[in-house]
Amino acid sequence: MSRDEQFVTLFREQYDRIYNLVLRMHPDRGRAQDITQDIFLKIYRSLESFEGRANPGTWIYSIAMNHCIDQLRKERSAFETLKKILLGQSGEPRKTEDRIIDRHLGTEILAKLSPVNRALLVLKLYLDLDYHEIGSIMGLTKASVGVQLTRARREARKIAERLGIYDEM
Amino acid sequence: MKCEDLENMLSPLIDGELDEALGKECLLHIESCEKCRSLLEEHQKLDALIREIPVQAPPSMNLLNLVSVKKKTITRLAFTGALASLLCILCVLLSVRSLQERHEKRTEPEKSISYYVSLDDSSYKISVTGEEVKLLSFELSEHGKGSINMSFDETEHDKKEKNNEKNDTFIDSDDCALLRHRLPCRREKEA
Repeated sequence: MSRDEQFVTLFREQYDRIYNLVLRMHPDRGRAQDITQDIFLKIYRSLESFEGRANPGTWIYSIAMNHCIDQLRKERSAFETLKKILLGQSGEPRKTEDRIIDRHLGTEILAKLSPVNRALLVLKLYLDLDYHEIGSIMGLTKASVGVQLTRARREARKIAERLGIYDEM
Repeated sequence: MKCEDLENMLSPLIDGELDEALGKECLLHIESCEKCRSLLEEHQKLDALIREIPVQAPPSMNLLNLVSVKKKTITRLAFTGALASLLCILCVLLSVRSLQERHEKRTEPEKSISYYVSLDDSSYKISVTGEEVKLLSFELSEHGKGSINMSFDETEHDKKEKNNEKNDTFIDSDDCALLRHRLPCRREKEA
C-alpha cells in the first residue's frame, strides 16, 4: 500500500474519532476543526517514519494528544498573560447561574482541567483505552497512569463541587 | 486498608486495573466505610458525565481540503518571508537615514553663548560653544593693587581661527562648571 493510500485509509477510519477527541480537549468547534486538520497534516508528514512499528491507533492518538496539549498550553499561557493584564488577578470561579447552559456539564468540567489531566480522562473515558495504551501515548508507566488518573479525577471532583454539579445530580 | 490507601487506588479500582487480591481488599473496605463508598459513587457519576458528552458529527472535510490547507500554509510562509525581508530593508533604510541626519547635525555650526564670570575680584568673559569653552577677555585685580585688563581682539581672534592657528586660550569644562557653581553667571547674548 502506498503512502497516500495508507493515509486515505487512516483518515476514513479515524477522522470522526479524532475530531471528537479534539472537541473534548478544545470545546470550540471551529478551533477543533482547525486542530483536527493540523493533526492529519502531521500524520501525513510522519507516515514514513511510522512504518507500521506500533499500533496505528495508539500512534495517531499520541500525535493528536501531543498536538492538543501543546495548543492548550500555548493558548492558556497567552490567555493567562492577557487576564493578568486586564484583571490583575487569576480569576474567580464562575457561579452556577453564570454557566453557559447550552454546554454539556462534562465538557465544562473537562474545559477547566489542566491539559495533561484532561488528556488522561479523555483517553480513558472517551476512547476507553487501558493503562498500558494510555502510558504509551502519554509517555508514562502503567503505575504512573493510575496515580495521574487518580489526581485527574480528584481535580475533576473539585471542579464539579465548585460548579455545584453534585447538587444538581 | 485505610481510607487514604483506597483514595490513592481509586482510579485503578474504578477502571478495573487492580489485581484481583487488591481489588477484593478495596471492595471489602468500601462495604464497611460509608465515606469511601460515597466517594466512589461521586467519581462514578463524574465519569458517567464525561462519558455522556455527545459525539458530534464532524464538519465535512475531504482530502482536497487538507491539500488546500497545505497550500495555504506554504503561501502563508512565503508571505511571512517576504514581509520579513521587506521589514529588514526598511530597517536598513531607516538606519542609513538616521546616520545621515546625525552627520548633518554634526556639520551644522553650533551656537556660541558668551558669559561674564566674576571670581575673587577678577572677572572673565568666556564663550561656550557646545562643549568647548574659550576665554575671550579677563580682568585681574590684585587686592588693593589696581587691576590688569586683557582682551582678545575679536577680529584678530577670527583671523586666527581662519588660519587654523590654535593660539586661543582655553578653560576646560571642569573649570567652567566650577565657575558656574561658585558664582552666578550673567548671560550676555546668543551669537
